[in-house]
Amino acid sequence: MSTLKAINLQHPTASTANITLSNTGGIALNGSVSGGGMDLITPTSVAGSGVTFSGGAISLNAITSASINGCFNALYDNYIITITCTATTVSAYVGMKFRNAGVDTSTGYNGASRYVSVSSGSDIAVNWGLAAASSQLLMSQPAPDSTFISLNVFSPYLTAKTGAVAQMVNFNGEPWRGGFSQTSITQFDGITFFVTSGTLSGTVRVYGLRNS
Amino acid sequence: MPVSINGNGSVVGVTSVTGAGMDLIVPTSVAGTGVTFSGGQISFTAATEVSINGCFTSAYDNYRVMLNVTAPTSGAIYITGRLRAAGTNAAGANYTSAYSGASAAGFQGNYTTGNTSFSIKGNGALETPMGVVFDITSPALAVATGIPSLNTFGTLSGNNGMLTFMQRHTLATAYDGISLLIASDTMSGTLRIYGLRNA
Repeated sequence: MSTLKAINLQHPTASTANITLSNTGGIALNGSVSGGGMDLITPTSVAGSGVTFSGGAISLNAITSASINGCFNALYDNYIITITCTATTVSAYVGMKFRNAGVDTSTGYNGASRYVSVSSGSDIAVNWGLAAASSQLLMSQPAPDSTFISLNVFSPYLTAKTGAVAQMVNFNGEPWRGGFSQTSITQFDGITFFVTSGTLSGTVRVYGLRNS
Repeated sequence: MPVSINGNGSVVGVTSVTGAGMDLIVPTSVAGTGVTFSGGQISFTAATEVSINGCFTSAYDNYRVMLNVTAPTSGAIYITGRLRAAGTNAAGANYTSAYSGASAAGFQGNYTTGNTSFSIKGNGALETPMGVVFDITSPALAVATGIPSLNTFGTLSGNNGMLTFMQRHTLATAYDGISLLIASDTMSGTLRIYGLRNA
């Protein structure tokens, strides 16, 4: 077996190296690789005070609202979004709205959830909105501290209803899970997260699940 | 030409990348009226049973399944699943299920044993399960199989609900496939299975 020694591999017409190798074993890809199952998505832009992004890592610093543009596209039907909230200033809900071309959609949401309250020991069900009555989706009931959310989004960029399911655990260890729908068949290319009061800091990443 | 680098930055022709964590699985075959596949995308139209063969192998212990159901045709639907081996469904009374849910109807929850299938979508009138995500642990290993899932659905009248299932197939048998079944209706949509890398 022969060994090709190189730092960069680049297509003749590409503007930058497609693959960069480091001497510690790292492989940096500028683009995507077929054959895998999931890709970290780099949004086209973000909006909101305290919101920045570097590659696919979207950083939130004391935000009240964070909009992510261009994270849903025709390459993927379904997505996984991880939201690591490292700090919230007060107990508040984390909400979300789908958006398109930089504009949030504020109608047509339904949602239902259940969580276990550590303080009461109760299993609590909540219907956030029924009959497309809600203007937003609300996730979790976080303590004013860390909250971790795994959100699966189905078909946001298709001309079909958009569904989402989420699992969350907050700093108190309260497990929470919810199901949501956006009842229109609008195509969405982005999403906005917000807190209902106070501010939130943390990191968001959007992963596209390969279609084929 | 096993690998090609395109001018747009993409690298194609790679079947496996060391260091990645998840792969879209291409089944060896599918079965059922209205069921087709292209690469890892399994499509079904007006199907009553969607059978997928060769999707579980020794290359992966655990799998994630993403199911988009766009169109049951009418009425109450109840989507279930069965593991399968060598083209035959495991239909014995060996599935155990616990679930909890919330919807306009309030709380739901139950625990049952001795089921002949695992539940993907609970029975309910005029509901479309727009998205279901479930994991399958160790189906190709000769141990019991775990199937935790979470789904959201909306009714034609606009209501919404969620269901969490924790299910298990108790036999220590290896399976290479899975079937989805719908009772008293047909379903259309897509399904994809992702293998989580072992090492």
